[in-house]
Amino acid sequence: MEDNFIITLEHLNKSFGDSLIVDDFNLSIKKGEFVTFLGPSGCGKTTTLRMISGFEIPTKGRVLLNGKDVTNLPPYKRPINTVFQRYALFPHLDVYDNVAFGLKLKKTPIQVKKRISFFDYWRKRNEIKFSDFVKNLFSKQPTLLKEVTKMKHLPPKVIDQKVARALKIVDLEDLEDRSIDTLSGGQQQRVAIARAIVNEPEILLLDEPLGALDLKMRKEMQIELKEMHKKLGITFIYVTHDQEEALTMSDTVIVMKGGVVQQVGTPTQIYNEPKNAFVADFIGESNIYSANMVDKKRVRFLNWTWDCVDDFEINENVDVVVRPEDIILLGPRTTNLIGTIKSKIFKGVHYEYIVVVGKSELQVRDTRDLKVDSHVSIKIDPQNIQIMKKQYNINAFYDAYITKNNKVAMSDDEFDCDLTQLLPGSKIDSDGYLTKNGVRYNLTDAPVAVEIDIKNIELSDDINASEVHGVVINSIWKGDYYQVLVRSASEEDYVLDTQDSWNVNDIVSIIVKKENINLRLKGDISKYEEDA
Amino acid sequence: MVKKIFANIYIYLILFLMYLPILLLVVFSFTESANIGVWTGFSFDLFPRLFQSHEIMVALGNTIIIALISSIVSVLLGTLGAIGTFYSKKRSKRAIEAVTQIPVVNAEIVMALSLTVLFVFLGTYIFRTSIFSFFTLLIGHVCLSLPFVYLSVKPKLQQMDPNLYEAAMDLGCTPRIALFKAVIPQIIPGVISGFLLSMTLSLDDFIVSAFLRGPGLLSGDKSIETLSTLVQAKIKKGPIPPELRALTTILFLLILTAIIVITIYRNHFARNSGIKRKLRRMKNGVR
Repeated sequence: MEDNFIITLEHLNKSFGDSLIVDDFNLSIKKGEFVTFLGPSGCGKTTTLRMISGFEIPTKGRVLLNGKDVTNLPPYKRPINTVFQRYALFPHLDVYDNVAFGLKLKKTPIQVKKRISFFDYWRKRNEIKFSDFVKNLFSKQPTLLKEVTKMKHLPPKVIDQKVARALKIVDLEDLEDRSIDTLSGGQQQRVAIARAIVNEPEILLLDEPLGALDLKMRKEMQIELKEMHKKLGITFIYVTHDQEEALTMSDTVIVMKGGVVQQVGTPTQIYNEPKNAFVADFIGESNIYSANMVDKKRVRFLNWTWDCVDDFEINENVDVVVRPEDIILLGPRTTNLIGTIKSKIFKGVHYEYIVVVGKSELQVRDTRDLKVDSHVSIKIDPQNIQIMKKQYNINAFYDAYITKNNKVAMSDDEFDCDLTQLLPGSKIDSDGYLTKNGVRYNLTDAPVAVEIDIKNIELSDDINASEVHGVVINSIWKGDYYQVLVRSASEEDYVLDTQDSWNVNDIVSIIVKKENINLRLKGDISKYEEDA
Repeated sequence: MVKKIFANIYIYLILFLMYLPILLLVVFSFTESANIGVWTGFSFDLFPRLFQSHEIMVALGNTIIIALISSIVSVLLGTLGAIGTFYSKKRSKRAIEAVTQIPVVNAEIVMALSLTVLFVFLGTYIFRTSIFSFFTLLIGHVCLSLPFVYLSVKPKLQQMDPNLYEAAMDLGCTPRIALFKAVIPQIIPGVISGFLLSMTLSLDDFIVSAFLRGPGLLSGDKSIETLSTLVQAKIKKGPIPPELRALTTILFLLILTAIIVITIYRNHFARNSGIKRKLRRMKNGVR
């Protein structure tokens, strides 16, 4: 069974000190596949790659290459080459020598004929006459020979040819003699790729190789990398945090979060059938709602009951994702859900609308030019409603934002939070701005995803204990604790584990400690840099 | 325009003042007078006399031997130390860095004296005999120049792409070969300037030499005499030997030619890495 898989990762675990970076990673990659590890920074994707290349030894688990265990094999003995994030070209060598670096180290066995030695004679002393041996020892054309395997460096001519071929693949034929510092970023990138592929590795690892290039260059290189993959026919393992890059290039995408694999699938599967709310939110734009299965293949969210195609148990609480392009806006009619257009942005091919339904918002893409404040009815095809199992260990809110008081708000529920976690090494200055190395960030209204562990929410019947209040919707005895669902005044649901028993319809304060709120910024933090 | 002229005049004036004493010394090495500053007519006599002076030749030999050996030792230790520190954990890195700063800012006399106390202590209580010799002198000189080597190598390591070492391993180098093929070439300018720094420090060092020397080297059973200790001994009794003027002239000219040669080499021959390959290509008629 392992014949088809070039690399297999079995229960891979990696921790540095106390922090677990990669948790029970299982994966098999077929020969010739283009596989992408996708995830936000710090999700363990680079660490996994480094375990494949041999720069990190897993704490637990095995790495199998063609069925053989290579877990503890050092990097220089693996038929794997890496294209590094910032190229890591050797600045003291020119383009040719950079590309030839690996080839010059390589030794191949060569059969050579050698005069036999005394020991060889002694072993065969019955067959060979001593006088013949002595004659052979001093003759210029010895007749008694033996075959020996010698490890020899590749001849310069072969290296020349291979380097020329590799440089041709990356389109740099004429730059052999240029020194590295005279090349542009894109050219350096190509040299790095040539340097890796010239060794004819079985697997090529690429660690965010396009991160340092500008947008246009990146798009070009994406296409070229894909073509190179087709041409070379070797396995590519690609690491990126850019979901678009992952969807464009890969055969298989592995979405990771916090060291755990969230979903493995083709780009279409990942986009159309995300397994959970995290994947749906991370890949592309999406509307995510908490929903309830009210009947067989009937789901209720946005205070409306929809037909759907996924079969879940009746009464199960689920997450629902609808892509903005799958929502159809029609003229107002009573048989459909009615909403109001709150805003619109022209995006070239389409308009992006925010439609308000009750207290919820929908993101919608439409090519027609509709008026703001007009009423529209909303239609969604049943197969475009993707229903996902709810994750009950965390509360996730994907449409939260930062208020001007540095609080985080889910709808109208505001909680104190620690903004410095968005940027390692930052702090809050006296004016309330996030700063790092003298750069200020104005995060007011910045969209964030919020995660709160269900163990970290507390309830209190003291109405002054928190600004956020809610009603207990249900409370389930789980053996030795209660799992309580609370709905806040702004219709956000909070799930929590508690030892206390609460009655349905109790009005409670919802308390979450600052340090227990995990934030993830949507988009890059550099967007929020404040002009001095 | 006027501004530019003034700027030029300023630079050349400073350079002239800097080199004036040396030029004067060179001029006065071509006269025989025993006293400095008295011109008694042009003569080459000082030069043959210099090479006939056994004392000076011995001191010169000692100085060069110590400078070379101590520089080589400090460069080896300092470079390996810098690489080791660079790749070690944050906490130990900070500790080592703090420790290496101290000898740089420390007064030389403090180090010389403390080493003397150490060696006297060891000699009295452990070896039961005086241990002052070439080796104590060598240890002193290495201690003197080691931090400077470290400080000139460290910035080169910091400027280096941290992935280079891994890239070399990825392409098939064992860790040791990766060090020589990827890391050392990046830091070699720092290593060379560290070597030159230790050479200068050792060549004209007096305090450490005076405190730590013992018998050995070309001085045989007598205490090792270096140029600086020799000069010191001489001026205690009388004028500086006139032959030393000739020696400084020779040293100055040697260094001048060395610098000119290095500059020419850098400007014209540094980028010759591909020459062999280009010749091969021409021979094979590939292109």
